[in-house]
Formats: sequence, structure tokens, C-alpha cells
Amino acid sequence: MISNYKAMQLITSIMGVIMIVFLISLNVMYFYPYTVVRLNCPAEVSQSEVKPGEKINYRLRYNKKLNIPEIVSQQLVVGNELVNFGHSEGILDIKSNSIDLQLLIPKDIRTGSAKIKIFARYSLFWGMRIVDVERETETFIITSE
Amino acid sequence: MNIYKTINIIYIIISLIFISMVYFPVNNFTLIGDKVKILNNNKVVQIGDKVHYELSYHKRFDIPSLLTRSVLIDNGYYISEKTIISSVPAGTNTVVSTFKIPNTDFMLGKTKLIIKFEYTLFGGLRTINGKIESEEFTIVK
Repeated sequence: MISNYKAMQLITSIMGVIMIVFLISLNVMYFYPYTVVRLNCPAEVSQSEVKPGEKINYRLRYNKKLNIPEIVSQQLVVGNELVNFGHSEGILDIKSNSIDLQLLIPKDIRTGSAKIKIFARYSLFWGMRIVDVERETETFIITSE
Repeated sequence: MNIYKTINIIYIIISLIFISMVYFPVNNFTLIGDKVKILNNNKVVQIGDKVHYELSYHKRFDIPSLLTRSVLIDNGYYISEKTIISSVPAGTNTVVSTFKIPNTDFMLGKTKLIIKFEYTLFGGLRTINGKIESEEFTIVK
């Protein structure tokens, strides 16, 4: 028969091991570098010059590993001017490996060298882990009308 | 070393790391100056038009944020854009951007632009929220 002291020691060590396993799994959850999608950089643009008010097409090549919907936002960067475009959800299909996207260049944008930044956000483990992916297109020129 | 002591020490170290990640004061984005500058002439914008603004900032980590921009009118009306993911370059910079005022009569009067942002650190373990406001401007018909 084991004494009370030994029983307490056993319970404490079991609890300790459970806590360590729990903390290690939390570490894996938050810090393991999960690759949900690989976005091939940079995305190819259809034309090297575009005028304000025109549309620019670009092809984003990707390799999606997990079938998790994403939030995608686009941001046009011209010098230090930023134009944000609203978000889309779940646009990258796991069965495909490229998507053609289109962006309308605003009419009142400045001219010069520009690029489009693409942000994708994935939520893993019921929202506990957030994975952000950020890529850019090739540089293109916004010319005057 | 006693096995129980080792377990205790590992447990305390991991716990301290987690606690410091969750509670250690981190500030990723600091606005330089009091408010976001409005660049429109005389700080007047027509409904349906865009308000141009400029912000100088210092950003520590080059990570994207969830961004919500809204306009709060004096008459109590409040309009908010859908939350987007956005990023500005890290370091000390000045950027210019625009916000489209909806074409509706409810939007007339004195107003300010409110930008709310949320940065996620350590894969979602820590979030940093912030809010910056612009100078007052007037929306006219």
C-alpha cells in the first residue's frame, strides 16, 4: 500500500507532465511555421504600362497545402500613396494552382512605378492561430491619361 | 537533479515565456504628430468624393494589420468600411491614402476619419489594437 505522501507525489508529477505536454502543444500551435499556401513571387502582370481608370490583370501562382478559406486583400502602392481594396474570402482553390485577378486603377492616382500587394490571412485551430502571407506583383508603370 | 524539480523549472520557464508574450507591453505602430493630416483644400470634401489624408508614423515590425476605416459625423451618423488587411512599410515613413465618402445626404457636416488597426503577434497569441484620428474636415453637397 502506498503512503499518502507518495500518492501526492505521484499526482503532482502526473499533473506536471500534463501541464508540460499542454504547454508544448500550445507552443507547437502558435510557433510551428505552418505553410497553408505558397504564393509564387512576384505575381505576373499582363501589361507593363497602365493608365488611370484602366484595369490591370495579374496572375497569382500558388501552391495551397491545406483546404482552409482565406481572406484576401489587395493594396496598390505608388510611391508613398496607398490604395486599399476590399477583401475577398476563399478565392484560392486547392485544386488549382493559379488565379487571374483584376484591379481597376483609380482615376485620381498619381503616375509612376507601382505594384500591387496581396495579403492572405488564414485562421487555424478555430481562430487561435493566425497565418499571414504577403506577396507583391511585378512592378508596372501608371502613365498619364 | 530531482525529476520533480526539473519538471517544475521547465513548467515555470514555459509559463513565464507565455505570460511575457501575452502581457509584455509592445507598441508596433506610433503616429508621429497628434492627428492624421487632411490634404483636401480648406479641409472640405464633397459627398461622393474622396478625402485624401497623410500620416507619418513609426512602425516596428513589418507585419500586416486588420484595418477598419470609418467616418463619424457630428450629427451622429457613422459609416464604416469593411475590415481589410493592409500594411505600411516598417520604419519611420509618411504615406498618403484616400477614403471615399458615400454619396448620401446623411453624410453632411463636420466629421473626422477614424482608423482602427489590429496587429497580431506570435501567431495570434497577442493582438495589439490601436486607433488614430484625423483632423476635422467638412463634408458638403
